[in-house]
Amino acid sequence: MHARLGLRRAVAGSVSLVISVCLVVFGGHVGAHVVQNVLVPGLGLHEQSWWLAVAVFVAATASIVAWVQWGVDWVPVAIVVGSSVASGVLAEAGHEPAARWVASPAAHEFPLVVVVVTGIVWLRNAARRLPLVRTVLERRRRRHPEPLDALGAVDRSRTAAVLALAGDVERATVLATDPRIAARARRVGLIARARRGPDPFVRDHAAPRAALALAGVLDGDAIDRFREDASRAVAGVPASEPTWVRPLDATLAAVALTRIGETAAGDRWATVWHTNLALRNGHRPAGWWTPLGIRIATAPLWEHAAASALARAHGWHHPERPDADWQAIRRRLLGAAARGSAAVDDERAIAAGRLWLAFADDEQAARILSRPTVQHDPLAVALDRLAAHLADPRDHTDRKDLVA
Amino acid sequence: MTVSELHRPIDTGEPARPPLLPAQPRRMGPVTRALVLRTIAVIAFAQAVGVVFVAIGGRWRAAGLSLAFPGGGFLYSAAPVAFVLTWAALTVALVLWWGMSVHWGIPLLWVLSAVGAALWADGPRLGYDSGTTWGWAIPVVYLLALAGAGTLVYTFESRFRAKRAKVDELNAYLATATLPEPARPLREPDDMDAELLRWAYELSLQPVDAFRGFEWGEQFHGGTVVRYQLNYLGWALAPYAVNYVPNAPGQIELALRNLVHKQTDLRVWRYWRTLNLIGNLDANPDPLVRDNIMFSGFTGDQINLYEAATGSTIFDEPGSLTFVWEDGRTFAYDHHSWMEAVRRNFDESRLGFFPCEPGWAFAACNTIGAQALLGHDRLHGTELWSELEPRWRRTLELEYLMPDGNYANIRSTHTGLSWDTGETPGGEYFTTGSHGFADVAPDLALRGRMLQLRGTPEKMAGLAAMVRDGELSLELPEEWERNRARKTAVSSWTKLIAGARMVGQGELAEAAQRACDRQCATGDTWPERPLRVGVANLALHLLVRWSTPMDNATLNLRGYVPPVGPVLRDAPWPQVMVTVARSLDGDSLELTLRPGPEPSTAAVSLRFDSLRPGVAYEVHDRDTGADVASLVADAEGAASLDLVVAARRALRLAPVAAVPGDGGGAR
Repeated sequence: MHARLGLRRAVAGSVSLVISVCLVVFGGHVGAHVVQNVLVPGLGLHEQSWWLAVAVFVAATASIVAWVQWGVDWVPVAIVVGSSVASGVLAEAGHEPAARWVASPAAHEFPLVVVVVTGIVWLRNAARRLPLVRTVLERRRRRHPEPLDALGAVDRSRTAAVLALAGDVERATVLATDPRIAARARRVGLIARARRGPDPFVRDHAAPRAALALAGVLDGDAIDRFREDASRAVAGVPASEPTWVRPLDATLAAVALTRIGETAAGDRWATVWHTNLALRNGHRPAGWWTPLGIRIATAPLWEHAAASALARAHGWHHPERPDADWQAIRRRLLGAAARGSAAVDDERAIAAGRLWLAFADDEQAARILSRPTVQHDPLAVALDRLAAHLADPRDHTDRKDLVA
Repeated sequence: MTVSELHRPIDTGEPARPPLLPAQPRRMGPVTRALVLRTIAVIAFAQAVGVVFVAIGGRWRAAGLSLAFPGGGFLYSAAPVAFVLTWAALTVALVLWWGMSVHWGIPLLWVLSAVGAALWADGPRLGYDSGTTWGWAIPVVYLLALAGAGTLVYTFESRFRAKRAKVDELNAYLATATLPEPARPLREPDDMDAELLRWAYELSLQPVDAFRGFEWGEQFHGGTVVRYQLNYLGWALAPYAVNYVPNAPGQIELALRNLVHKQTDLRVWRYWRTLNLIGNLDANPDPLVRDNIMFSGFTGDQINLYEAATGSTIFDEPGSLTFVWEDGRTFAYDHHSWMEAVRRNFDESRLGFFPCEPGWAFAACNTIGAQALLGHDRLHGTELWSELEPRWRRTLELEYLMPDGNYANIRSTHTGLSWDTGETPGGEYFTTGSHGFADVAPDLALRGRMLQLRGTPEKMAGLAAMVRDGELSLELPEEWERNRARKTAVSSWTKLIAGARMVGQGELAEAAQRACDRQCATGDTWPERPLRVGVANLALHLLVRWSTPMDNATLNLRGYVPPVGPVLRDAPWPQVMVTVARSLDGDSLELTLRPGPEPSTAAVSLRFDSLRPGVAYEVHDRDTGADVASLVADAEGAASLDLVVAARRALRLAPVAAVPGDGGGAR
């Protein structure tokens, strides 16, 4: 798989480079504008209209967000290709192209995507910590007496799956079968891949399908499709949205598949987990783009902690460094515990950190992580219940099989 | 034997006599003098440079005049608005110097005003031609500088002389006067005590990371500082534990423990990083490693009192008091390493007292720090206090004592200066710390108390005459709380109750207590407050209210003493609240139970131990004398009792007679 993805990346990179060079060398002024536009969508149109250039840039940025969020990959492609063609067609003659701009081998849209997405995620997280914004968010949260209402479809599925693992199948079923989850899956399938049909979960949607499977409400045909999708998938588990594999969704799907007898899925996911999505500088990626095997952004702390703890519980950790994730995230988890459970991300991180306490013999961390009250965010509460479930020696004798 | 014990003003059979005030007091102690001289030297150097600059002329003259008097160069440069702005900025810097330890603020502005005046020398003028100078500004600036310095010297000197003039009279008073013994009644908690205890429990027994009912605001200085609210509550519940419920430690031990744990919550101590960064230019967030005695000393004292009141050694365990910074860095302490950090700070301080906020050493906080070390020594047999005590007393008596027996509240460890911060009348007090020196320096406590209470017995006697049938028909005026959130009469009542007890007017104190409850009761329960007052002042009121017969100074000296007689080991909270559990004879148990915040209509299970094995006990209603139940202690001296607590139940558990066998539990 590694070699195949490497070949793909090499081909894609080479083709991008060759096309760019050809456009600059042989395309003259027109080619330069096209290359400019590929580098920064909208830039190739700046001579025609700055407004148009900015509009294209904004549209491209929004489409990248939509792509990363819902797998709608054809939209950014269409915008970049369309605006590049337009910039070439509308380019005026009369000045020399800035040929040196294409000298960088990284000059294609993926670095831009990584920068944009990482930047957006970072800005969002930073903004949430600003005193005023935090106050507003807390007030908004207080206005919702039932935080479940504010939970998005994906997090609802994750919550259901985690609750099912914690043994609360009844509540997991209610959550997993929420019509909003199917509606979202239908919407994503339609917009991203023009999928129609009665079953919105025919491909991808790892989290909802994991939740349904773990809650025991997936019928025989759906289970077969789940297995089939997993066996075809490069990660060993279905993607969250078309082409995007996200750590927690994938881990939950692997757990669900293992539970329905598809143990190979877990093994394949484990390989991806400690190769393609391996720890780098103490972080795991927020997503993995399967066509080229590209890691994108950094997983939120809570997702990293939850996914790695579940992986650890199933023996999918790195055989030589089983607690590498714990060592990488421990301090940040303690920081989250110190900040308390006012922010959703911190509350989830605290609960996810408690999952790890079943494996890490760390008295100080246990004392610090056990201190905040996890009570607001439903997914955090579910993770906390799972942590309590894992920690209860009456239920388990072998930690590896805790959730199997 | 510590210095305090040598000086203990008791054991003579004669009326205790305090040390007299120095007949020839010095203006300042050796360290303070060195600091002040250093400050004067720096200012003199700046003046000398200023004179040279003024003599050079041109733009240098403007700079020199600003060195002579901040902003003076702007006056010379015909820029009076800049002069006024400089002084507005200096005023802000002065406030920030005290409030946020911005020590560099005034020097920086001073230098900037010199640089700015030099740069502006040829610049535009508002209403005048460019380059205009006002020659008359030169003598005016020097006159202002002289007037400023003269005012400071005159204020200090006149105050010193006025105080020195009182020394003979005060010493004569100290040598002859006697004070009545303080009133230390053994109280039976009333309904308001129960309401207040319930409030304190609900505040303390909520999850450790929850702070519902506390007052939040800025965390540096003001009346909304949560660390002080936690300290005061801990100080208030400790005497309740020993005076009212020594034989039922369960509920109050947990409440006291939680109050300590809450001190390690990041929201409580996060302020220190900011202060340390600004005042010490040190980004280390560790709240104990440097300065910050208003946290380390206060909470150290709180931990001692918790241990002395309950016997729990939970905070002696390594890492039991761990601070976690927002990036996950941990600073692990326990009771011992905490106190060692306090001691280390004392040792490293040139003045002998170490700062609260960087650069500001308060006598009050350093006294509480001393209490903390003493308490730890008493509990653990260490010598943290006894080794430090001579130096501590030297600092107190040489650096902080004023001729009239007052102590300065604050001293700058950078400049040696001291002034009235508005926290205490005149910026000084006769005794300080939360125990009024009673444990760390009993002789000075007696002197301070005598000076403090001059004329008070007569005033209290006048008030006592107003008490009719145990009632004081009086309402006290409401005053603003320190955080300006509300007006309250509780603080005035607290002082009156404490003052009445101090001069032995126990009946007046009780009447004042009831009058306070009558005037200030709100009828509210947690998270609101049962009395119309903020959390900090309410906790201080509780401290006075419940500190009888034993106060925290006595508790600090005594350490932990296990209760004698039967012990109510378990009483389920929040169904039931124990307001009295004490054994006056070592055999029986006086017990008062009230419904908790979530009362049960069903019987609750009470578990007793420390009973005499195999002995039958009767439970009587203390109000009606009716029999309530009987039980027999098992071989371990334990028994349990199921009881409905729908309203206040005052009970007495007393042995009847020994029965054969090993007992059979509750009936």
